[in-house]
Amino acid sequence: MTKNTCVTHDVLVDFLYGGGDDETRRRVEAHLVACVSCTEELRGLNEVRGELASWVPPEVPLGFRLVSDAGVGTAPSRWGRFRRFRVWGWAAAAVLVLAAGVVVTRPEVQIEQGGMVVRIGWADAATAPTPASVDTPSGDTVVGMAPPRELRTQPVAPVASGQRSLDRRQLSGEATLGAVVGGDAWQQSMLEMITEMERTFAEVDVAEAARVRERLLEDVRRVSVR
Amino acid sequence: MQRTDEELVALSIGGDDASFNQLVTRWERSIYALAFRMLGREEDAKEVCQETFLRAFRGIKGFKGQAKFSSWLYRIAVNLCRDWMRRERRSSMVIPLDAEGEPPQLDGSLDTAEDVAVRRDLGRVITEAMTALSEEQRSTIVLKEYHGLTFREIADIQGCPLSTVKTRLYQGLSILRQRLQRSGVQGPVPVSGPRGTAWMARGGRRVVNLDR
Repeated sequence: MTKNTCVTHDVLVDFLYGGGDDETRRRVEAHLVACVSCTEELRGLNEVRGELASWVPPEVPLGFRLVSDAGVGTAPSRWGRFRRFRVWGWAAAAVLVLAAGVVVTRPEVQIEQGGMVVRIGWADAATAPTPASVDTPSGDTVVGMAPPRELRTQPVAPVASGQRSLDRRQLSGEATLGAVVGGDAWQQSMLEMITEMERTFAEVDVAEAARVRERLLEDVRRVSVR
Repeated sequence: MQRTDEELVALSIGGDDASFNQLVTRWERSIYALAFRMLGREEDAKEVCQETFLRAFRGIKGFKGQAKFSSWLYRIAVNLCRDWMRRERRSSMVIPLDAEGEPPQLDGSLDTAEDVAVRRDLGRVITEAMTALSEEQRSTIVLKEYHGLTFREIADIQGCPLSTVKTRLYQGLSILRQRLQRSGVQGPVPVSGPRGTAWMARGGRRVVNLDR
């Protein structure tokens, strides 16, 4: 570098920041006196540095601190973890059993005239209970809900030989009615009552038989809507 | 008596968390300032500052003392800022629309409202001008201008030759000069007489005496 040779950028930056050895600095200074271009360059860079000095980050609270996580809470013991697992395990098992029960029993809830009826069973939709009717001797029809399948195996009271008996459909219908509005005893008594009625028809006159029949049918209707 | 960084580092390596916290207290402001000037946003700077010390804590047993502890911290912070900008695609800094904090006084004197406003505007202009720099130019200028690192220390942090650091510095300052002139911040520089003396005092920089 001479008075007529401009300084390199590296040397200029060194000079700008006070670097370089004494000999180099003297030569740069000598060159700047004679070189307007380098003087202007250095002046501009110095001004930028002056402006940068006024760029100060905003004051913000910092205060970072190292916080050891040792002792913050205690690790759950093996038993504690197991106990929690056990509780959740039981809960999960209960839900599974309930869900399985719903799927298998397929409960149905219906509001009928006689109240709420809940049906459970293994019957699928094709074999689901359907309303059954009871044909009474007078031709009146009493409608009831067929019982679940297992309730259909009610013993039917034997009908005396030579007497008019209800056919299987009627028996089923009566059993159905009994199952809905009463228990096994009620069902049995109804069957006996109707049998008695038929026997009476054969023994008394027609007028008396009609009164008895009406009385019995009225009883049946009253019980069926209870 | 205040312990040196090296002493606190040695104690920290031995498991003394309190010593590490002293290092944090000592350097968090510098690391935050570095991150703020690199990223231009207060919240981002805080995040990077926190992450810097977390990484330092995790890796302090691997710190062998080849460099100063502060240089090691700066290296972590610069790398984090670089990753942050790349990840967030922040090739340019985000300029906050409103001042997030009050710019502090430079010399401890009481500032008028006008002084504060001027400094805030100037800070915004510089922040915007810095967006024109590459990551390397920006970190070079920040480390040199605000943290006083030597060229050699910056070269070690950036993993580049000494001459590259000087080139980046020269190019970065030249770009800033153009941008500031375009913004109307920079005018003719007085280099002699009373105005020149005041300018040099304001900048607080060592300048070549061109009056000779």
